[in-house]
Amino acid sequence: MKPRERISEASFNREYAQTVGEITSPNSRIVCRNVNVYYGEKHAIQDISLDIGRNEVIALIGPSGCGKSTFIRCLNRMNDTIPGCRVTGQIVLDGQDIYDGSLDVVPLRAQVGMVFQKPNPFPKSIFENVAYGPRIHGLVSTKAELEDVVETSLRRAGLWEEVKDYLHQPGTSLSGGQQQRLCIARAIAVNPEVILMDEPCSALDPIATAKIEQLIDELRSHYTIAIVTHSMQQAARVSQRTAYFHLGRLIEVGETAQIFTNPRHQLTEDYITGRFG
Amino acid sequence: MTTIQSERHIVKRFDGELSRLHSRIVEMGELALAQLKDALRALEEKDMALARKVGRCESELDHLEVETDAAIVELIARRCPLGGDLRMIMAVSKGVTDLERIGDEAAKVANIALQIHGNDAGDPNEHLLRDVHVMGQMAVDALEKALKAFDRSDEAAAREIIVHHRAFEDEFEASLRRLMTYIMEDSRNIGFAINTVLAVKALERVGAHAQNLAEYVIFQVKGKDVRHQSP
Repeated sequence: MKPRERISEASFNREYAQTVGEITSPNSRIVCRNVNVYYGEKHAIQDISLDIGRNEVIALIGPSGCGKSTFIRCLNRMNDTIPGCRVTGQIVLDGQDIYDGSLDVVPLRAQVGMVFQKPNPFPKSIFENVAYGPRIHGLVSTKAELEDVVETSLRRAGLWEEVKDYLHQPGTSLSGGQQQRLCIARAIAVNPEVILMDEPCSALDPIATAKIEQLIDELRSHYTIAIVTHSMQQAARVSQRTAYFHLGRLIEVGETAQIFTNPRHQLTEDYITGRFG
Repeated sequence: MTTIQSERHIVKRFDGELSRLHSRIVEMGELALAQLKDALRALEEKDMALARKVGRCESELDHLEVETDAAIVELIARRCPLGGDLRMIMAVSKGVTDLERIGDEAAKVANIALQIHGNDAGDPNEHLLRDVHVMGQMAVDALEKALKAFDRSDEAAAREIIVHHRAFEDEFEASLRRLMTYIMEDSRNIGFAINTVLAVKALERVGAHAQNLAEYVIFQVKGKDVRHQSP
C-alpha cells in the first residue's frame, strides 16, 4: 500500500477549505454562514457554514480541539462569556440574526437551551431546579401553572415517574443519569426551540446513556437538537445528520447513514475508522 | 472514497483481525478454485479417485465458512466497524457464502463425472462434453479474476468481470440449445445429455457467484451497490 503523504499547513488550508456534502437543510431552523471564532489570536473555527433543520438531531463529531464545542456555543452566544473571544459571520435562528447588537441574550439562551457534559443541577430541590427558569422568565403567573410546567417538563424528560414523590429532595441527591435528565427538564421548562448538548452522556453509565438517547429521540418531535459527542456509535444511533469537524473546519456533513458507511472525505473516513493519528 | 487504507488503525489489534479475515477469504477462494479445477479435470481425464476427493473436500469449505462467519460476528460486536472497514466486512461476509456455494457446484460437477464415467454404460459421444469443457474454462477464468480483484480491491477488474458475464450467459444458453439438438437426434443420448445439462448449469452458477464477488468488490471500494443492474 502507498504511504500517505504528509499534508503541509498551506495545502491543508487549500484542500479542506470547502466542506464536502450538503450544508443546507430543506427545513432549516438555524442558518450559519461563514462563522469564524477567535480566542485572542487563535483562529478556533474557520468559515463554517451549516444549516440545522427543524425536528432534526445533528451530531457534531471530530477529534478533541477541532472546534465542535466552540461551534455549538456560538449558537446561544455562550462564547460571549469568554474574555477575548470574537465571533464573525452570521447565525440566524428562525429569521433573527442572533448576533444582532440589539438582541437580548437572556431570552436567546432560553430559546436555545444547553446541556453540558457533567450534570449541573442547581443546589436546590428537584422542583425548584425546573421551576426556576419559567419563574424568572415570567412564563407562568400562578402556582398551578408553575406546577403544570414542572410536571410536563419532567414527563418530557422521562423523569416524572421516578421523582414525583420526591420533588422537594435536593436535585443533587439524584443519580448521575437522573441529574442529567433533570438538567434536560430544566432546559425544556423555558420553552426552547433548540437544545444544545455538549457530550451529555460522557459522565454516565450505559443504562443512563441509553435513557438519554431514547429521550433525545422523543424530544426530536418538539425541538431541534445539536449534540457534540466523542462516541461515534452514539452519533450513529441518535442523529439524522452528522457533521465532521477537523482543526476548526467543517470537513464533511451529510446523512448519518452515509457518513458512517460511505464518507466522501478521506479525513472523515480516517476518523470514523480509528485511523486518525 | 476508496477502501485501500494507507494508514493503520490506532488500535493495532483491529488491523490484525481485519488482516486475518482477509486471509480467510483468500484461503477459501483458493480452495474453491482448486476444487473446481479438480472436478473439471476428473471429468475430462475420467479420474474417479479425483472426483471422489472433490466430494470429500466440500466439508473443508463448509467448515471455513462457519469459522469466518463466527469471526465476522465477533468483529462486529467488538469493534463496531464503520466506513470502509464496515464495507470490507460486509463484502467478506457475503463473499464467503458465494465461495461455499462454488464448492457445492464443484462437488456437483465431480458427482456428474462419477455418474458419466463411473459405470459400465460406456463413454458418451465426445461432442456432448464439449460444452462442459468450454463452460468449465470460462468459469475458472471468471473465478480466478474475481478472486484476484477481491484480494487487491481492484474495482476496474471487478467491473470487467461484470461486463464479461453476459458472454458467459450467452454461452450457457447456446450450450443448452446444442444439447437439446443431441437429444432430438438420438434419444439414446438422453441420460448423458441430462448429466451434461446439470454440469453446465453448475458451471453457470459458478460464473454467477464470481460475478457476485466482483459486485462486492465495487461495494467495498466505492460504497455502491451494483447488484441487479444491467452492465
